This record gives sequence, structure tokens and C-alpha cells, in this order.
Amino acid sequence: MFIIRGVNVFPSQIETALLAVEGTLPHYQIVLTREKGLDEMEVLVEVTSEVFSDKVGSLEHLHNRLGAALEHTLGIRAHVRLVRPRTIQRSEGKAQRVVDQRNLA
Amino acid sequence: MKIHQLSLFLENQPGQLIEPCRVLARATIDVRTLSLADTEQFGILRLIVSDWQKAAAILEQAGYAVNVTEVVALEVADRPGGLAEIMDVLEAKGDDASGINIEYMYAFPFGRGDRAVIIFRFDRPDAAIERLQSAGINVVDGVDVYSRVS
Repeated sequence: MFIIRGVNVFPSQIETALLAVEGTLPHYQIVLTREKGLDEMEVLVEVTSEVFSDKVGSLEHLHNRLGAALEHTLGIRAHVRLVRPRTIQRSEGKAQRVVDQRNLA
Repeated sequence: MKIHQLSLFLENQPGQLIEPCRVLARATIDVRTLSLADTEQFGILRLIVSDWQKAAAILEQAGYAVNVTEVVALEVADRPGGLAEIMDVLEAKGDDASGINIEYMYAFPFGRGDRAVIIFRFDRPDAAIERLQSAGINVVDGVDVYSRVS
């Protein structure tokens, strides 16, 4: 669990949202940053051949649906970034789910 | 009649395009034509290649999300009004009151004599082919396109 903007977030909530949109759970990673004193959450989501389409509109639709599902589940906004398959680091077969770059002192 | 097009998901960053080009080069796959669509975040590279099955397999192996779509290649008269004639056929009219939508299109770098060859991605490719052929427009066969349109 981590806290962002005073809200408790569990990775399982993120998974629920991603699963609801895509049907299967894509590889993902949560990146937390702090800009001008404000916490930001970005969720990187790998694009698989199954959800990938030749149409720009379909991908933008997927992007928007992921963003909406996350906001609905978490109650806060998250930026979604679609990334290439197998680009999110996996350590010993398990992905590092949360990268906290906020330098919380 | 339909042609297999490969689409690749790319991130919109420097260096993203060179890798798939190298992968195809190593496998001696020839790119007949291509189009690159971009948004702020990502890009979609669409390819017509000499051996699409092999290309799809090696690109997936190289870690790409690959989509295979059926597109249609048409001969278009290379003169003013050539493309308009194609659009006339696709427009909604007569017994088929629904128009055929073009999702996107791009051309081959080489033509056939006085005709250009253009790739069309239709929402209803079969309906489009039927209508175009009955209007006398030449739909280019896949074999011709994968080998060499010249």
C-alpha cells in the first residue's frame, strides 16, 4: 500500500481497474513523483498484441478507458502511459509494482 | 483480394523506429510500403511487407505488439480526379444507402504505368471490394503487391 494525496492506494485496486478494461491483467508499473509539492501517479501499462489495434482511435479509446477506470476505482486521477511489451522491468520473474520517486524524507 | 498489413505499437520517442527496421533487415524482409501514425504519446507503424507471416513472427519475438489487418490495394488513375472517382463509388447512394468509411489510407511509392496504387483501410472491406469491382476499379491482388508492383 502507498499513500498519495492523502489517499490509501493498494496495487490490487489498480489491478482490478486494469482487469476490468482489458479482460486479462497486463504488466503494469506505478510511478510516483512529486512535482511542485504535488504528488503525481503514473501507471505504465504494457500494450499486448491482444489489445493492440491498427487504428489510432482504438488505442486512444483504450488509453481513456484505462484512465477512467483508475479514477473511478481509486477516487484520484492517474496518468496512464501505454508502453511496449516487455519494457517494464521484472525482477526474478516478478515485476516491481511501485516505483516511488518522491524522496519522502 | 485483401492484403495483410502489419501494425506495430511504438512509443513516441527517438530511436523507436530503427529497431523494427533492423529486425526486418536482418530477416531480409522487404518493406513494400508503410505509414506511420502518431499521437503525442505513441505511434503506430503500419507495414506491407514481402512475407507478412514471417515478419509478424519475428517482430513478436523481438518484443513488439503486432496486429494483422486486412486492407485493400486499389489502382487509382494518376491524373486529376483519379481519387475522386474512387470516392464516388464508396459514397452512400442508391440501393446501398450506407457509405463505406475509410479509416486511413497511404500509397505505394511506385505505380503501375499511369496508375497509382493506394492502400485503403475500410470499415467494411468486403462490401467495398464488391462495390469497387462492379464499378470496374481494379483491386490489386495480394501476390502482386507482396512481390512487386511495377
